[in-house]
This record gives sequence, structure tokens and C-alpha cells, in this order.
Amino acid sequence: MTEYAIQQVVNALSAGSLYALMAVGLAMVFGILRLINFAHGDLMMIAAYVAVFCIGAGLSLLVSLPIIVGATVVVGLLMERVAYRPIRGAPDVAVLLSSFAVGQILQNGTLLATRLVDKPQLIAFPSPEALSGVVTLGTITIPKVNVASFVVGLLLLGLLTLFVTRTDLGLSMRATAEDVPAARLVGINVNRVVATAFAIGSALAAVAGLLYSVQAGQINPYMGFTPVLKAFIAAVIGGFGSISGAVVGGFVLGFLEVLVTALSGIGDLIPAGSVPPDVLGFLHQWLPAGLASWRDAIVFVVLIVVLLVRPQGILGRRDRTDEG
Amino acid sequence: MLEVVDLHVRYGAIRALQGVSLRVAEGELVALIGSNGAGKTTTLRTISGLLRPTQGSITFEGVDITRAASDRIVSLGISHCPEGRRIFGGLTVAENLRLGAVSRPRSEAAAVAEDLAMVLELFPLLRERRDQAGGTLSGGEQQMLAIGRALMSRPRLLLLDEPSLGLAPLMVERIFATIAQLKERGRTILLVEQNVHHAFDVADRAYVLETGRITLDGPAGVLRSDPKVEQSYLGVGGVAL
Amino acid sequence: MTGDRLRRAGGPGAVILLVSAGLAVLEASGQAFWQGLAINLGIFTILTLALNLTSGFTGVFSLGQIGFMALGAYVSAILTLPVGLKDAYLSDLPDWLAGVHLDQMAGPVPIGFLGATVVAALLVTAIAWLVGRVLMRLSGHFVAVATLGFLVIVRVVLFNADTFTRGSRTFSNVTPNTNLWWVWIWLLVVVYVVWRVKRSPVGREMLAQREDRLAAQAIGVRVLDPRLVAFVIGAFFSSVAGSLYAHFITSFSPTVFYFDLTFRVITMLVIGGMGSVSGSILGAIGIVGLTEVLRRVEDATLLYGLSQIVLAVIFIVVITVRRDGLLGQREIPLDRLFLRGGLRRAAATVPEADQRL
Ligand SMILES: Nc1ncnc2c1ncn2[C@@H]1O[C@H](COP(=O)(O)OP(=O)(O)OP(=O)(O)O)[C@@H](O)[C@H]1O
Ligand SMILES: [Mg+2]
Repeated sequence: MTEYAIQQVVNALSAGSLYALMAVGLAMVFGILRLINFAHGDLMMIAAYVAVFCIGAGLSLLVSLPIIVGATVVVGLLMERVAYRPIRGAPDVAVLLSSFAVGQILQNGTLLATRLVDKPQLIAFPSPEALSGVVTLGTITIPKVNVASFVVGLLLLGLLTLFVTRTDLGLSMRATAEDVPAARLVGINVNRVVATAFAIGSALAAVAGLLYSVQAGQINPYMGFTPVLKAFIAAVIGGFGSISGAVVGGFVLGFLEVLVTALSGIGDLIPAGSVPPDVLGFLHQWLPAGLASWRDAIVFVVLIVVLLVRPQGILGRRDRTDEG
Repeated sequence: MLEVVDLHVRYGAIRALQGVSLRVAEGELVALIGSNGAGKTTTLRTISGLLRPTQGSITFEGVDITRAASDRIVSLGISHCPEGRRIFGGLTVAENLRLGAVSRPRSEAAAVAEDLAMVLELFPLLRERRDQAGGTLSGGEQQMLAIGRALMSRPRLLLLDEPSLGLAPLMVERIFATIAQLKERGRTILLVEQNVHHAFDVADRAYVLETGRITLDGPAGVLRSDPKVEQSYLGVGGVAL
Repeated sequence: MTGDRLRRAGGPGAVILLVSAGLAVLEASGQAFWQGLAINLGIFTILTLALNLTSGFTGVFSLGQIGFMALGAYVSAILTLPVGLKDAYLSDLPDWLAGVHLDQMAGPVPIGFLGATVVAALLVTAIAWLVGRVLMRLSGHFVAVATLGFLVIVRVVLFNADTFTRGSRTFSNVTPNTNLWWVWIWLLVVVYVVWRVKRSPVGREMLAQREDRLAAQAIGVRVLDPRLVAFVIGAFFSSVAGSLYAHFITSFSPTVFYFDLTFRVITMLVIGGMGSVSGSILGAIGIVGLTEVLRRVEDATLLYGLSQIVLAVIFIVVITVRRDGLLGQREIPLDRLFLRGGLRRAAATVPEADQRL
């Protein structure tokens, strides 16, 4: 039972850090532009396909990584430049819908590309050596990639924190998120800040995409959709637009999801006789084995509740009304 | 130094400026006064590149900056301390000041450090509050921070938009003392103020803006005794808010 | 006065007669492909109009519309399924539902299908009212996201409620009740209702608060009510479209009702012009036509995905260069077709009047 619990905690941390990596990218862009970039998830997908290409070409993970991240960043920057910059200042909804259109282009573009090189839509993801296998700690075995997700996630989020608290560009980013006109008045180049936010977000999405693909074992052009929805929920839970909020939201979501999965069918795991039959009956009725398949619905219900009860999120402050 | 000619600006259908011309010479302190909604803030925002004029030109030290990006205008030497202070509330005092110098190249690090020392000497209070979030400062402290932040780019022209807005009389005195001090040190300043008495005390010259047009201008001492100015701006409403 | 009214009715009347005649010819011709295309077009037009009412009029963007459509499709399909088929096909249905079979005919008219469509739509409307009461309190993009959440929830429910829906397996054997005439009649009903809503006081409130929610609140326009009304009516018609769709394609699974469809309808709406009834119709015609052409290109070249890319690019271009779509909030003033001066003069005067709304 304790082993089960520990394994679940590791799962939660691993899922949480992937959500956090994604949510941070969404939150940075939202903080500055009030843009919910639904195409953010497709950056994960792009990274996954580039990874398949690199690994297929026999490159090692160390050589592949800069290529994967670089390519994803280029796509992220292009997306900002071509699709989002021309409509800056348009109503929220118009921009949101454009981001869906951008997502459609990336997804179907990838689909086309796979067809042109005669590959099937659904590709098994060739797990790099370094991320395959399990780690054994006493009686507990954990997939390496889960440990890697947590460690890498923590590391990158730490670096990001240093970036936004220590560097001029990072401070500029926070300042721009607070007050765009005031940022321009102190001489911040807002376009550059926006591009930086997209670049960092894309790089984090690339890493998340790689880890996610290893965990999932297969990739397809639409794989980014569900993760971006989850990341979005994480960002909202944390108070949209705040980086630390997005991280917290990511982990909260990771735990919530793992909790739902872990609790579904929990009654079957408990040895008969160790708890009163009433309790066991209760568990069987309310936490049936099928509960896990309701996970996405449960998570969205939580999102809607958060939006209604605490629209500024767990850590967020109330939206200011800005002018100019 | 700054030359604004026939500036027209509109917000959609609203014509906020309809032909504003003014000039500021090196070392001068020029006041821009006018009632609410006259277009004072709009003038400053257009000079610093936040708004695009539909007509007219702005020249700074011989360079046409009418359509320049705001960050370039800052690099050229114009710093704008906005109405309502607009400090970054989630950032610390130190971070706010650091951002004031964000447009300066790394090679000026020594000069930036000097300016920081100068600002902290001008406002010793900010030194104590260094690591406090800007949003937790009092209104007067925030105004000092906003002026300090604007000075950190070592501007040759400082635009101040209603620095006394919403401050208690004692703090108003302090802010104006600081402005006088800056002027003594040779700063060029374009000051927007509703607090006309105080503005005239420190200014060399002044312009009066009414519904988007300059209606009067001249040396501060002369304008002060102008009957029209006396009636509209130095009456009851002219005393500190 | 009556003469004027008659003349005003003349324009739309003429168009209705013309289209009906066209449909009769199409029906007689036996051209299955064109008949199918026309049915598709009708269903998409209904969806676009419903979304226009929900979102175009109010500015409250709902991404959950296809969820209502899905519910309408499933509920009506379960209701019309003959008892024998139900036993074999949905064997675990609860007794009260297993006995229901709305497959009655009145002569050649499947009134059971009509009943099923209406019952499903009323059920969906009730759900929309509950959901809308909660979600319409949110603002801006958060409504969009929360309604997207609703879509995801509906999908999860459809996948999991396999007693009723067969889960991820295809739901087939739906009676093919949908034909040209059903779609056409429902379409007329929807156009009429949406048009009337636009011209009604509540419709004016919707458009007013779309422009500026704060200002609308300040001058005392009730913000909640018109939004909820729009949401609920839109859900009703989306459900109708779902029923028509289900009884047209006759087999489907939950994946059909997801994001692709959502985005397609949004594209039709935005390209036509949010707030314009005639715009929605034009948008649907344009996109359904274009999709069909692109689909052939895809089939010929095997470049699958091309059609979505083209649609998405068109969408971005429209949002960038012509944000209000083809017509904005304006209408093609068909009602002035037989008035003196006719369409041309009307076109010159009506837009201005509309913008004042
Ligand atoms: N963002 C905006 N959108 C529309 N109109 C604006 C905007 N900002 C200012 N205006 C209008 O432009 C005119 C000039 O405004 P401005 O802020 O320049 O006045 P001001 O002289 O600074 O007034 P105050 O002393 O109250 O600060 C006013 O009529 C105002 O209503
Ligand atoms: Mg002002």
C-alpha cells in the first residue's frame, strides 16, 4: 500500500511538472498579450515529430535536443510574428479563435508532411536510451522517464525563476505583463519581450513534448490538444498570467488527476477484512474502477468551479483594468 | 531641444489634439497647464510614442521622432513619468529602478550605478524600501519611485505628468522642491500640472492648453498675472487639490 | 400600410418559393450527391445561425455548441430507434426507455422523428439553461474556455454512458429520416426565429451589450438575461441540427462531435459576419462549398489535411484584414426587394441604421 502511494506521488510529480512546463508558457504569453494561445500544445507535437526525425536519423539525445528545441522555438516565433502580431489589440475572442486556426494549420501541416514522406499518422515514439527503463529503489520501481520529467521540469522552472528575477529581459517581461504602456515608457521593447515569451514558452513546450511522447509511447498530429487544455486549466487554477501560479496549478492538476486515477477501483486493492465491509461497499460504489475514464470531465468541472468561485485563481490577483 | 509643430491626435472619433505647437529649450522648465480633458496627457503620450499623431511633427534635438517607437525615444533621451505613477507594483523598488535604465547599453553600467546613487540621494526613503514591492508603497513614495525610475535613463528631457496628483499638501511641497532641485541641476523638464500656483513657481515658461489647442503661452511670471489665467486656473480650483 | 407589408414579405417569399422549386427539381432528379450536399448545407446553416444567435449577437463566445448538437443527435437517435433494434443493439437500456420508439408515420411523414427532434431539443434546452445560468456569469475568453470544458465533458459522458450511447463504438442503424424537406423546413424556422430575435427588444439588448458590456450595464440593460436567452435558443437549434445530422448520416460516434466541427462552424460565422443572419447563410454556403471542392482536391492528390489548412488560413486572413467578416452586422435587405428603389437603395441606407443598434 505504501509502495502504491509512493508510486502515485511520483506519477503526480511527473505529470505535474509537465503540466507546469506547458502552463508556464501559456501564462507568460497571456500575462503580456491577454492571448490564450491554444496552438501552444501543437508546439509539443512539433517537438515530438522533430524528435522522431532526429532519433530516426541515429542522432544521440544530446545532439538531438538542441535541434528539437531550436526547431520548436522557430515555429513558436513564426507563429507569433505571422499570426498574432498583426492582430494585436483585436478583441480577446478574435485572438483566441485565431490561435485555434494556427493550431489547425500546425496539425494538418504535420499530417500533410507525414503523408508526403509516406509515414502513417500514428507513429510509435522511439524512446531514447537515456529515458527508457525503470529506476528501482528498494521494492519500488519507477519508470526513468517519470523521474526525468520531474527532475528536468524542476530544473527548467528553477532556471526560469532565475531568468525572471535576475535578468533585465526577465524583469522587463514581468513589468510588461503588469502594465504595457508603462513598460513602453521606461524604454522596454515590447515586441522583443513578446518574442522572448514565445521563445521560452516554445522551448519549455519542446522539452515537455519530448518527455510526454516518451511516456505516451506514440505520437500523432493531434496529440497537443488535450495537454494544452490541461495546461490551460493549470494556468487558470494558478491565476492566469502569473508564472508561479502556473507552476502551482500544474502540480495541483497533476495530483488531482493522479488522485482520480489512483482512487478509481481503490476498493479492489484493499485486502478484504482490513476495513469494515461498509467502508468497502462505499468505496466500491463511489470510487468504481471506471472512475478513471471520467478523469477529464472531473478536471473540467474543477476548472469551471474555480472560474466561478475564484476567477483570479489560487495565487492570482484580480485583473487590473489597464488603459493605453 | 524639443519642437512640437501642429500636432493632431484622435482617439477614434474624439479629436483630442487639434494643432498643438510648443517648444522646450535646453535647461528650461516649461509648464503645460489646462483643465481636465484638455489634452495634456495626450500631448505627452504622443511625444513619447505611445500615440500616433494624424498630423504634425515632433523633433527632438534635430531628430524627427514623430513616428519613432517608444523604446527608441527613450534611448534618444526623453523620459516620461506618467500620470498616476504607473510603477510596477509586483516588482520591488530596486527592480523598478533597474528597469528605468533598461534602455541603456551594458557598457554604461558604471554610469547607471552613479545615477542610482543620485536617485537614492534625492529620495533617501527609497533606499530603505529597496526590497519592498512597489505596490505596497504609499502614494507619495510611489511618486518618488516613479520620478526616480524616470531619471534612471539619464534623460535629457524629462516629461512629468501631474506629479502632485492625489498627494497631501506636505508631500506636494516635497515633490515640487525636488522638481526645483532637478531644474537647478540643469535638467530640462516639461511639466504637466493642475496645481498651477506651484507650477508657476518653478517654471520658466508655460503653455495653456484648452480642448486640444494652445490658447496662451509666455513666461510664467507674465502668465501668472494674465486675467484670463487668473480667473480660470488660479481661482478656487487652482489651490492644491 | 398592408400593401407595404405585403411588398416587404414579397422578397423573402419569392426566395422561399424559388429555393423550394429548386429543391423539388433536385428531389426529382435523383442526384444523390447534390441532395446530400444540400442537406449538409442546410444543417451547417442551422448550426451557424444558432451560433450566431448565441455568440454573434452577444459577443459571448461559446465553444460548447457542438456538445449540444451531440446530445441532440444521440437523444433523438435513441428515441427513434425501433424497439426490435433497441433490444438487439442497446440491450441494457432501462425499461422506461427501452419501450420508447418514436418511429410512427403519419402517411409518408415520420412524425415520430419530429417528436424525437423536439423532445431531444427540449431536453438539451433544459441542460443549456442550467449550464448557461452558471457560465454566462463569466466574461470574455473565460466563457469560451468554460464552454470548451462543457464540450469535453459531453464527450467524456458520451464515451462513458455506453448503456445509452454504445460508448466509443459506432452508433449506427439510425433511421434515415432526414431528407431535403425536413432540413429546409427547419432551416426556415431557424432563420425566421433568429431574424425575429435580432429585431426584437431582447435582440437589441444582445447587440448593445456585445458592443460594450460596461456601458450596457450602466444604462440599465440587463446583461445576464439576453445572454442566457441567446445561449438557450442557440442550444435548442443546435440540438435540432444534431437530430437532423444523426438521421442523415445514420451512424456516428462521439469523435464526430468535437473540435473540427466546432471550428468549422465558427469559421462560417466569422466569415459571414457575427451578428448578421444573411452573413451566416453566405458563410455556410461559402465554406460548405469550399470544403467540398477541397475534399475533391484532397482525394485526387491524397494531400489530406489541405482543406483544414486552407480554411484556417482564410480564417486568419479574414480576422486580420476584415475583422467583421463579409457583412458585419448588416443584412441583405431582401424585404426591400419589391419596394421602390429596391435593393440598391436599401443597401445604401440600411447599414447606417443597423450600426446605430
Ligand atoms: N484612451 C482614450 N480613449 C478615448 N478618449 C480618450 C482617451 N484618453 C483620453 N481621451 C480623451 O481625450 C481628451 C484629452 O484627454 P487627456 O487625458 O489628454 O486630458 P488631460 O488634459 O490630461 O486631462 P486631465 O487633467 O484630467 O488628466 C479627453 O476628452 C479624453 O476624454
Ligand atoms: Mg492627464
